[in-house]
Amino acid sequence: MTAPARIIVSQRSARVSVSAEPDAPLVVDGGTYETTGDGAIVVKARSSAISIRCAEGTDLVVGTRSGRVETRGRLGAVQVSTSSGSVTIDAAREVDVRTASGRIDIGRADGPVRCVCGSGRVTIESAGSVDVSVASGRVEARDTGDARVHTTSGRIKVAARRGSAVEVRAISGRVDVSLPEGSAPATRLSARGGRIRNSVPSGDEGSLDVQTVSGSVTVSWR
Amino acid sequence: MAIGTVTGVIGFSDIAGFTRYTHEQGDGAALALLEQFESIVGASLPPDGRVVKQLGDGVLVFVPDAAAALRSAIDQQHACAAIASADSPLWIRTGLHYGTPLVRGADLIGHDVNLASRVADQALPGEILATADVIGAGPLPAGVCAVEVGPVFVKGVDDAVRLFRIHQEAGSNRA
Repeated sequence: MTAPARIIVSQRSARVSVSAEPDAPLVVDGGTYETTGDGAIVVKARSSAISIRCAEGTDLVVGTRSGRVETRGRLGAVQVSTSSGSVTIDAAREVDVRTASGRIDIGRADGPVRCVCGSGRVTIESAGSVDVSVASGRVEARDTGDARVHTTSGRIKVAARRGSAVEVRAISGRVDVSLPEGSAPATRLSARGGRIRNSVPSGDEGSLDVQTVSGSVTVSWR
Repeated sequence: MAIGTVTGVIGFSDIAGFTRYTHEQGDGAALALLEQFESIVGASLPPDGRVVKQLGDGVLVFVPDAAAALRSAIDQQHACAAIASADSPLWIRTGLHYGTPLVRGADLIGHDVNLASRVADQALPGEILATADVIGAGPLPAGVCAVEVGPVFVKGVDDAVRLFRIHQEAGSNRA
């Protein structure tokens, strides 16, 4: 069997584990699946835990009300929506995760990572770009290209690549942005009620736009 | 009270972080921000659209035509983004749903209104999300894209809802 282009799991409550391996045939434990007219694989759970093995590069769509979602291996485009429950994505081409509460951990994404989290913590090891919104909680992007991060309260830590466009918006909470040594972005920093420490010279290599209402802002080379 | 129905797009837009902003900056600053936001929403509506009600940190609008509602939501986001700053954090989330709510006086009520509110809860600041019913209600305006974000379970609705992220194509201008 050739690799399915897209796996869809839409289940009210279930723990979902997906393992992507080179040229692996599709195997679903804890559920059944059927193929739709457009070639997508729709998985239905028969138990509280679904385990899926699939080929590397497969696209994955998961919608649950509660339950942990975890992937291992390199997937294609990954979209996860859950009301509560942690989400861990090992590696993917691109990622879109939305959760009301819970922790989001993204390993490596070649392309964009988009995360919406009501309360919880978002950690992204490496991404082509990040677009993250957390109402209450911490955001950390450890190696990213362009970044757009928004929090109501909570610490933001972004390590961006040289020449990236970084935009941070926060009501309260500390903001730390680090750039490679020698970076000189077009800089616009505003902290209405917080302190700004900026040790990076202004230039025209990328951009850095940070606006907080009451949090402090630190910008430095690493 | 006479009750009828209307068919069209119900839109919720709210200011992300408004409660925290009010706590930190005070009621006067919050009121000024809200008035700025409401002014932008009013200016972005098409002639047959209307603000149904203000909701503390947001507004509920109704627009009969789906394409006009999408255009209006994009204009609203662009206008807010253009003036948003640490002094005026107009960071807006928008949810749209096409349905047939009940009309009760000037108000709209029913499942379709509740769903539009839940859709807005799923959006990033600066993001517009729409249900599949909006996308299916007519052609998208020129230069506007809809990208599916997958099945989403929202509070109070049994089945997963298909949501789409709405955005202006890069480099395209308003039609």
